[in-house]
Amino acid sequence: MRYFITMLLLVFFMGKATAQDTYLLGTLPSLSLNKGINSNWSLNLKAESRLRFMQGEFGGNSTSDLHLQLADFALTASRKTGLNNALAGGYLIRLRREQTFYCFIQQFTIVKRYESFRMAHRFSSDQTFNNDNPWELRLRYRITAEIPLNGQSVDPGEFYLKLNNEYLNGWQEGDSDLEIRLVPLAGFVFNDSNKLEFGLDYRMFSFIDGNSCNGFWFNIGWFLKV
Amino acid sequence: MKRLIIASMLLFCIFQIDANAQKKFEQESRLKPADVPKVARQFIDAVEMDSNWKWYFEENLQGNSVEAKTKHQGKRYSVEFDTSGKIQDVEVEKIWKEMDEQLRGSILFALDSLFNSHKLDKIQIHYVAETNVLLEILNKKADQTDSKIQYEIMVKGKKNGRPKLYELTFTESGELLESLEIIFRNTDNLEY
Repeated sequence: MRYFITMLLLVFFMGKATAQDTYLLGTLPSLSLNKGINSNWSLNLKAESRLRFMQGEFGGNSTSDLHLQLADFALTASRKTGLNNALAGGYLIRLRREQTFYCFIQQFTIVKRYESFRMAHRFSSDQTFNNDNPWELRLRYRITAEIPLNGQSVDPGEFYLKLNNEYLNGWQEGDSDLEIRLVPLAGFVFNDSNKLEFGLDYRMFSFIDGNSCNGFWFNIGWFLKV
Repeated sequence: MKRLIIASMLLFCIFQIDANAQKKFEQESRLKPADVPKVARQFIDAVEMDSNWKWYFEENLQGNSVEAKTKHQGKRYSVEFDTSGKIQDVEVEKIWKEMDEQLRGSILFALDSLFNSHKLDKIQIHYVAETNVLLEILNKKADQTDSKIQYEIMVKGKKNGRPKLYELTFTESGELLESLEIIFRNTDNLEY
């Protein structure tokens, strides 16, 4: 039901796209390496980049260019705090144009297992710092459903569907902005320590006060447990 | 004194089983009805339930099997066959309050002995009997006393540290037979 409402909202917002609303097209490749320290603690190293192919206005001009917008490197330590939940803290370095940003991350995740799918809730916050810009605070909530395409659980050698819906609100020097992400992905499990996911990563922001900016990214993520 | 000896023996059995607690591995995939052994399909066709059955092929450490699952009047039913279609057992979801009081007492005694704290997650009753008896149990025409019964209970249990999920098997009288720790699949792709 939640996804249905979100889809309706997105169709509504996209339907309102005017010539002033802008879009970006590109790809978001990422690599996530996870290392278990013991039964409670684990470390995650994630590298992600954002490569833009095209940008323009809906119904207006567009330009094609190949531009590396940013590259992120994050190291996160996570501790299981219960049967289904984990608390994590991390540090991210973002390289964007000629600038470097530093970010502290805190997150709490709950993964619930149902008869034939898994559902995850992620609550997180981050604080980004940079020498030339005021610091930014973001609060995020993401809901994820992982649905097997064969059987009642996702087993090695099988495909699955993953649906992400995330809400991010950022505050910077008195200004705030809401971003909504909708990410339908297909995944394949080589084995429990090796998964590949790919699909659309749709992001919409700046739609409250002004013309919306819409990002359509081809998301490809590789999850390895070492 | 006699009670003390019985309780001590029960505790000894519980801790022996707990010390040998194994980890559970299971992998299942969906089966098309056409790929199901004919005998198994015929059995399910004879079940008088107005519900849709789904078929699965299951691999575990004990071997492979074929399972039919459905949900009827709020309860989950599962019928397990071997790969030739010979019926193995029937599992029916059970509610804690529906169980005999003495049996609940024995199970709680075992749980209190194993864990510092625990919470019941799911209860299933296992019926093992001749094919016709199992069919009559499913069709509610036979009494469960006509079959061998076991209880499979999923428990969120805490010993030391954080809680874990266990699958415990009890006899008809509430004696603990087996304890398996459930290993969850990797959640990295849901957390990051």
